[in-house]
Amino acid sequence: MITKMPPVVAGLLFVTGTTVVMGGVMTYNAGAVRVAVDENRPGGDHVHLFVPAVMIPPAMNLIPEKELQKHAREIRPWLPAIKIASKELAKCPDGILVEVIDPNEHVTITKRGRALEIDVKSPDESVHVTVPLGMVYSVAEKLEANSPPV
Amino acid sequence: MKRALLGLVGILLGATMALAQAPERWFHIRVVSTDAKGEIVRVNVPMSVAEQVLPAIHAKGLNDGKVRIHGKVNDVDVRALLDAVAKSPDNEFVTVESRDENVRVAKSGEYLLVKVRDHQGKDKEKPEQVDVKVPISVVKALLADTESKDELNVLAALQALKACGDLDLVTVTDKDQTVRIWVDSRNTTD
Repeated sequence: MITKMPPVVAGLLFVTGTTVVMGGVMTYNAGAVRVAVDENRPGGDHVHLFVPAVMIPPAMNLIPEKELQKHAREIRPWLPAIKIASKELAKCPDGILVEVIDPNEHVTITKRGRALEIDVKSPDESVHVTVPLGMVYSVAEKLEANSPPV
Repeated sequence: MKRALLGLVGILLGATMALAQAPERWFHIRVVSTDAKGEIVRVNVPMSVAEQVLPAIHAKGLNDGKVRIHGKVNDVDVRALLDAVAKSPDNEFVTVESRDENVRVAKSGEYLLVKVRDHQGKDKEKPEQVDVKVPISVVKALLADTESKDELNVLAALQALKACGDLDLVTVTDKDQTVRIWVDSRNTTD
């Protein structure tokens, strides 16, 4: 037996479904920031974060303007280079960009697909961070808008 | 006519594909510490990225892909010196043989070679060795389109380097570390 759904519920379901699909498409396109911190000791902490990259630039509006301007001023001379690097890196073949190995740590910065992956492995913990290159560009653009030209 | 046109299209297509498939050139730096810690640092930079990024940096003495060097270069016309080296036939330009070290600067074919051998230096166990091999085209580019004597055109040098084949540019070996700087088409150092 098929019962007829009330129009309000159908409308809400449609809006929710569309939002989920749109959100999925946007997250897929822009990528996501992933942070994973895993302590190696027994019972150690495991922190895993997954934030869609599209949320980061709007979230920067929540940072106090004074604070944002202070950091933007410091990094201002490098912002055009960061913007270009993020765009150009996206076009390059994948590979390890930086690797540091010492007895206590192994650090790598890898370009994979349209993202930068930072891995730090030590006897105590493993840290993995994925940053979409498109988000790096957006954040640099946002910081540039918040700082006076040099 | 039809055959010629088809041939032309084929050539254009082939050229386009060859350009599209041109492998990315990578600039590599590897520093291996020879002490007990044995630290290793590897840096791999796609040259296309460096080429685009350099003109955008306006900090730390770097402007529009040109770097201002703060050494004593005013007394020496580096440009004229290197120009003379580039035009001269293969030769050894500098040979210093002393108790502490041997230094040799030479031109061999398309390359400027610098070799330093610190055979009686501070540390006799592992004397310092420096080898530099730079294409003359890169040296010329380094000095091209600069406004003053103390400026080096890093961007032009990078572009010239991109056109060269796989190449070991610098190797330094001493008691503390070995440093290697080179260019190739691989995205890994080893």
